[in-house]
Amino acid sequence: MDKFNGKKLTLFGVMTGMASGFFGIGGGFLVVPSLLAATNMAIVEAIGTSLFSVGTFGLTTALNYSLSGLVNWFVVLALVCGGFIGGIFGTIVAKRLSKQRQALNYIFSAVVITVAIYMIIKNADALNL
Amino acid sequence: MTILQWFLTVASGGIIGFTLGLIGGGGSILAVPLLLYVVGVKDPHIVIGSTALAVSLNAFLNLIPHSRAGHVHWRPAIVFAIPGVVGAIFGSYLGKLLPSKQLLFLFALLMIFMAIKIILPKKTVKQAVNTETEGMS
Repeated sequence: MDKFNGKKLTLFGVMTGMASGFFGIGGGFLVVPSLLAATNMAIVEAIGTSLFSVGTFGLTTALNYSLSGLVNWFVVLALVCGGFIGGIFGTIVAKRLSKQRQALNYIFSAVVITVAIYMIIKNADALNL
Repeated sequence: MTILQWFLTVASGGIIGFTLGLIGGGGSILAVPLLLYVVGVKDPHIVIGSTALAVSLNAFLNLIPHSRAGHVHWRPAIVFAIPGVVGAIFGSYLGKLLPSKQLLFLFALLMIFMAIKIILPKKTVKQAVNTETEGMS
């Protein structure tokens, strides 16, 4: 089961770690395909295994940011508490709406793109045009 | 922070957790705009530093049931995570150095990339990966 390509894992690890640290994201959407490409894991195993990297990358970034006083601990606590409750509801609803999975993805995608366009307009002077 | 901001932060956490449960991903790309524009945290770097920790804690919590179910392969996980941590140290230094507006602009581009990736048909992704792993010795 534990067949893997060490060189690929190392290379993809550095790259996803960099993206994760730069944006302060978990990077699960990069870690899972990396694991699938460099090992013989099934998707569910890649998702489970990816959580270790997502956790360590996020922790590394947070530690580095906290050295500069850039972590608000109360925000973290409030997010995790709210997230725990929301997660329970999300999982229940996901089971009921499993047939509408693709529709849910489209809604999520549309919301994210709308917000992203708002952010691009708001921060457009970053380009110094 | 005001009481209203506390309430809004817990509510944002709820929305993020709900979406994670429903869609299975995309926590941090929602967390950053929610904290910036709904809660009203002024410094984007504090937003990114704080969400990184929240995402990390959430991942470690979810790791427990996956590990019990035998889904976690520790050897490849560690071989991947060690160079990844080196990359994350480097990446987070770059992120801290970059001015807020530039960082948020790039973050918005990342959001669009992810939004497109989520609606792409999964089958083609799987096939592409399969052909790649076949070439592996």
